[in-house]
Amino acid sequence: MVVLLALLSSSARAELPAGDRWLSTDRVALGLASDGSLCNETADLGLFFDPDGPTGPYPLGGDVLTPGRCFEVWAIESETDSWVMGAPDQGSDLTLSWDEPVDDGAWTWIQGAGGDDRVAVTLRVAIPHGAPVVLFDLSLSAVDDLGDTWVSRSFDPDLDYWVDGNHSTVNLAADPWAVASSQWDERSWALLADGAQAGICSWCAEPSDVAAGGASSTGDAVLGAAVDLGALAAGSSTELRFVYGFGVDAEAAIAAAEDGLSWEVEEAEEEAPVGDSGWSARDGWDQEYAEPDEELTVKEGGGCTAAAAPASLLLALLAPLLIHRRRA
Amino acid sequence: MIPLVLLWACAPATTERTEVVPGARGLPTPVLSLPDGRVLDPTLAGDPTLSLSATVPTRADGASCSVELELVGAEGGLASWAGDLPSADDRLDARWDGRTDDGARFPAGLATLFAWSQCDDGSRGSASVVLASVRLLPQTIDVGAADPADEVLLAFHKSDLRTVDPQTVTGPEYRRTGASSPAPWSDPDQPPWSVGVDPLTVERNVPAGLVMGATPVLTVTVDDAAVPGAVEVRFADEPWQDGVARALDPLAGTAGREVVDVDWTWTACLEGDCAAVPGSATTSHELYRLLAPSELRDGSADGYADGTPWIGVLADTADAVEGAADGFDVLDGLRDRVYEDPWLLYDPSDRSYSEYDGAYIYWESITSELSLWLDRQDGLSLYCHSVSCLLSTLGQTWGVDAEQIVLGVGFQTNLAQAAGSSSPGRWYFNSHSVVTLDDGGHVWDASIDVDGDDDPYNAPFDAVSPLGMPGDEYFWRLTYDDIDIVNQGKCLVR
Repeated sequence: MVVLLALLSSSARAELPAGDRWLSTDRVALGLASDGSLCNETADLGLFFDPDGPTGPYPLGGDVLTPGRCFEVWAIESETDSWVMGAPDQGSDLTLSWDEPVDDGAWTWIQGAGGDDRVAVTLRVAIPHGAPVVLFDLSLSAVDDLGDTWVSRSFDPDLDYWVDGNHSTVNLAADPWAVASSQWDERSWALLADGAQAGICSWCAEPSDVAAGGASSTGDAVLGAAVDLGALAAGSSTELRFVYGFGVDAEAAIAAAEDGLSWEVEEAEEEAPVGDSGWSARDGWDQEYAEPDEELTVKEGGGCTAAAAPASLLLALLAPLLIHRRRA
Repeated sequence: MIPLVLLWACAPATTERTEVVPGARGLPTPVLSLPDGRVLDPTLAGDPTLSLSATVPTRADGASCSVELELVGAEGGLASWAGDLPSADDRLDARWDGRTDDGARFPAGLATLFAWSQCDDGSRGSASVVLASVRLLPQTIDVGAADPADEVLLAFHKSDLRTVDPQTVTGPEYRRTGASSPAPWSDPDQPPWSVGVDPLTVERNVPAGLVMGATPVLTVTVDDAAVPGAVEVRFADEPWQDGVARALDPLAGTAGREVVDVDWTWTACLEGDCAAVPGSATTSHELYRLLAPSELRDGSADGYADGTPWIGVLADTADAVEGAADGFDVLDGLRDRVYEDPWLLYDPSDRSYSEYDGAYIYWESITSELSLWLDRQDGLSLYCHSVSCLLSTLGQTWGVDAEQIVLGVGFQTNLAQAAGSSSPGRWYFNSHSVVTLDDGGHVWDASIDVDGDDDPYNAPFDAVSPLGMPGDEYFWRLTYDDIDIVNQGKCLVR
C-alpha cells in the first residue's frame, strides 16, 4: 500500500525542539531553521553531503554551509510584499511549526506549516536514502490577493572551506539550474526547480535579485533559482518543488537534481505476506458439517494412529469428509 | 467436534484413502506419484516445484475416466488440476510451485493432495496424500570460526552521517525478517539499525571479521513455525534445527576482504517419504580477513575507542592490504595508501587529526582523531605525528602490532618529498615520527619519501618510500644529524 505523504495532516503539531529539526541519511545531513531554511544553530548543522556515497573514495568533508555566514534562504515575492526566510543570517518573515522527523528506511522527511494574514505555506523537506538529493516541496496558499508571485531558494556554498579555508567555488547558472563546484575535487551542489530562472549573485535573498543574477563566476557567491508562479488570488494555492542535487562533479549534481524533480516521496512498500494464500473460490466447503454419506463408503485400514497429532494433520484428515459432503 | 476427533483417532495409519461407489464394475482408484518428494519451499531459488502425477490403472474394461487433483492447504489454500485419462495408460502430470490457483503462496504447513476420479461407467474413486509447504532459509546466521580465537568483533563507528557513535556488532551477523535473504549491508560507516532500535530485531547482513586462514563456521537458527512437526528436515545429514553449524573452506592466508556465497540445500522426510527438497538458497557474507585479532589500544576506560576494529577503516583500506601475508606487507600497503591519498597533504605545522596529553614530543599519550580523519572534517593537512598515529592505527586495525616512534630532537632533514607535494625539500624539524614493528629496527614513514641515492642531502632526488626500511638506513637518509627515538607507543583512538 502506497500512501502519499502529501496526505499527511499538518494539524495538531506540537512544538518540535529546535535541536530535533534535522535530517540525515547515508548521503546527506541537514539542519533546518524554524523558517524552513537550512542552518540549525542549536544542532550546529548546516549541510553535509557525501558526493559518492559511503562506499566511494570521496571523504565526506565538512559542513558546506556553516563556514562564515550560514546563508541558505527561501523567499516569496509578490507585487506588494515579500517574505524572506533565511535564519539566522537573513532573519525570518515566516516561522513554521514542525512535525517530528520521520525515517521509514526509504525516506526521511520533516514537514512544517505556517503563515500570516496574507500567505499560508506547508513545506516538506525529504531525503531519499541512498541518493544525493534533497527535495523541498512547498505548498503556497494566498490568503489575500498577492498578484504576480515569485518564489526562490538561494544558498552560499562553502565547498572547499574544510580543505583550505577558501570560500570560493566555481559557479554556473543556466535555467533552470545553478551549480557550484569545488575547486579542489569538483564535488558539486546543484539547485533546480521546474521552470526556474537561475542566477549567481551576492547575498541575494529575494526572487527578483536571484533572477537577475549572472551566469558564471569563480568566487564566493550565492546561487539561486526563482520561479514565477503568476498571479495568486485570495483562496488559491499552488505547489512547487526545489531540489538540491549533489555529485562528484557539476554534471552529476545537475543530473541528481533533475532526477529529484520526478521523485515521489512514498512510504516503503511492504512485501506481500507470503502466507496469505486465500481460500478456495468454491462456496464454503470448509464450513459444511461432516455428515455420514450413505452413498460412499470409506475403506479403513491399519490400526489407530498416535494419540497426538498436529492440528494441521487433523485438518488434513478431516478434509476428505468435508469435501465429500460438498461433492455429494 | 468431538465425534470428528474420535473419528480421526481411529483413522488408518496410512494417509491414502479410497472411496468406492458400490455396484461399479471396477474400482477406479487413482494412483498418485510424487517423484520429487512431498516437501516444497516455494521461496527457494531455482523456481522449485513438486511433480504430481495421477493415473487410474484399475477401471472397468473400456471405461474412460477423468481425474481431478486438489491440493488443500491448512489455511484453505487451493490448487487444482484436471484432465481426462481415456485409457489406463494415460497420466495426468502437474507441477506444484507452492502457489494457489490465485497465485498466492501456500503458507507453511501441511496440505492434502486429493485425487478424484470419475469414469463414464459411473464409478468413482479417490486417493489422498499429505504434502508440506515449508520455509527453510536460516533465520539467523552467526559467522564465527572453528577456533573462536580467530573471530574478531567489528564495529560501525557512526549512527548517522555526522554522529560518531561506535557500535560493536554483537549477535548473529545475518538476520532475515522477510521471505528473501538480505544482501550484505553496503554502508561501512552506519549500521542498518537506527538509534534506539535493538539491532537484534532488524534485518541485517553485516560484515564479519576473521583472522586470515581461519575456517569460517556458520551457525544458524531456524524458523520453527515454518516447518510442520510432521516434517523432518535435514541439512548435510544433520537435523535442521537451531545450532546447526556449517564449516566453510579455510580463508586465504592473506589479509583482505571477500564476499562468500554459501549454498544451502536440504532433504526432507514426511511420513517416511524422504527426498531432496527442490531448489536451493544462497546467502552472501562479507568477510574481512585480518592478520590477527585487533592490536588497537583499548582506551574505553578514558572515554576513547575500545580497540574494536571499525568496519569503515577496513572498508577504506581493504584493497590496500589485499594479499598481504604478514605485518610488513600490511604496513607497506597502508603506508602507500596514506602517502598517496589524494585528500592528504603533509604539513609539518598542522596539528589536525591528533591530540597529545602532556609535553610536546614527550607526551604521556597521543590520540588519533580517526573518525574525523575518515571524513576529513578538519581538512587535508596534518603533521607527522598525526600521520604516524594514523598509519599505526590503521595497521593495528588489521591486527599488526605497529607502534608510533618519535624521533628527535631538533635536526635538519636531507631531501624529502612530502605527501601531497610535487617537489622535494629540506626542513628543520624539532621532531619527526614514524611507524615500526620492532622498536625502530624497520620503519614505515607515510609523511615523506626520502632520497634513495648515496648523497641524500643533495640533488638529484631519487625518491624512495620508507617501506619497512631498516632503521639505521632510514635515519641516515632522513638526516645527517644525530637523532634517536625519544618517545614510543600506541595512539589512542577517537
